[in-house]
Amino acid sequence: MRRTSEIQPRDDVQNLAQQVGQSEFPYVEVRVAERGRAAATRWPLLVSTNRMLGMAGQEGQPAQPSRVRSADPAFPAPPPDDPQTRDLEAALPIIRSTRLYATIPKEP
Amino acid sequence: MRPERPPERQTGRYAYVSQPVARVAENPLPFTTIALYSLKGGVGRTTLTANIGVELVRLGVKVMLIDADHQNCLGLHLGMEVGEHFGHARQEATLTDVEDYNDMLASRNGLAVPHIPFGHCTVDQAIDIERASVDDKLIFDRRLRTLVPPETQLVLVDCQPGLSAWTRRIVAMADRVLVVLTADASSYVTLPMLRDLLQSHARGPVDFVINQYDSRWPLPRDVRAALGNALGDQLYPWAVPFEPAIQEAMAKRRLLPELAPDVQAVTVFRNIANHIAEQLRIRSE
Repeated sequence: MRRTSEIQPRDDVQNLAQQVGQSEFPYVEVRVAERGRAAATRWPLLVSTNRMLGMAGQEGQPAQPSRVRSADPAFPAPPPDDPQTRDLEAALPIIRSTRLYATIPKEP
Repeated sequence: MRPERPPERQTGRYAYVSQPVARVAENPLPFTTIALYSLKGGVGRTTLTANIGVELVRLGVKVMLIDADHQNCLGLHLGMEVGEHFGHARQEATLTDVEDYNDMLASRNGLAVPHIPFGHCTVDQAIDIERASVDDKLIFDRRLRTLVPPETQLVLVDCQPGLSAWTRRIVAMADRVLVVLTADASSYVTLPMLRDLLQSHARGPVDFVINQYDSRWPLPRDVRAALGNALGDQLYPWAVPFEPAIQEAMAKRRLLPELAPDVQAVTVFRNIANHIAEQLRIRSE
């Protein structure tokens, strides 16, 4: 169980405020918009929701970073000569053009 | 002028539909009402209501908590026993019943947090209430007028999740709405529908609070930042941390500040209660 009761940041802030002669500091979140936009771009579902909310204006960011593999550091693009990728890409047209038939054994 | 009909006795199915409601709406309620609401279930709305209520009582605010959820769980945080069926779902409940119930809890448990449970409710009764809510805009307003003691300053209503007519009536009559969210994607995706609902129904200011926040993981941190961007000043600066002691307190039939007074969540509940009291200019006498 995580306990953080030993840390009392509000007391620190209050002490600081008293030292400079103020009763308390107003709480101000800094760079909310920038941090919020950057945070949302890391998660495709949040980006989609922001688009529905009319908050899509995130220039220079891919809409769904994890689908653009090279854009997401969590999913680095494979090297160009990666044998598995190459073999799979070569095999894809064959897989797509192959028609599979199920053979049902006749009853005797 | 047509003479005013005396109120009909509420009996049988759809009893709430036939109430004369026109005159009731003209008079504002003598206390402030805050609806704690979320579109998504399981965000800890009831727990939040109970614990904010505890802190408001400690501040000296004359508060009344009302459970508007059929699950009838709010009272379990506040000393109600499993199987106690009293609540406002019983149509014949009176102010005296409410006061007797809270006096009984106070004598049994010590610190009393006045509340009105939803009460025992069968499936048919729940359907009746929902049907009645479709037609009757003041179904909840009337219950407050009947059951909340006149000296009350603040009423916190623990709403059902979702978009039922019953819940929409409560959201529409509340002076303020406090939306409870968790810092995850499934809460975030409710924002567009929440915006539509609150724009069309809420008549007062709307605030948002994050519950069950676990800062160890990147997703909750990012969702909190994204919520800050999407909601601006409407989002409370405090997020209630994920805290096992909150559920343990309920399971042990104790209040959180008694069981674990030094956990961070207690401080956050206290901050929120202070903020609400300041916001509403409610001072203890």
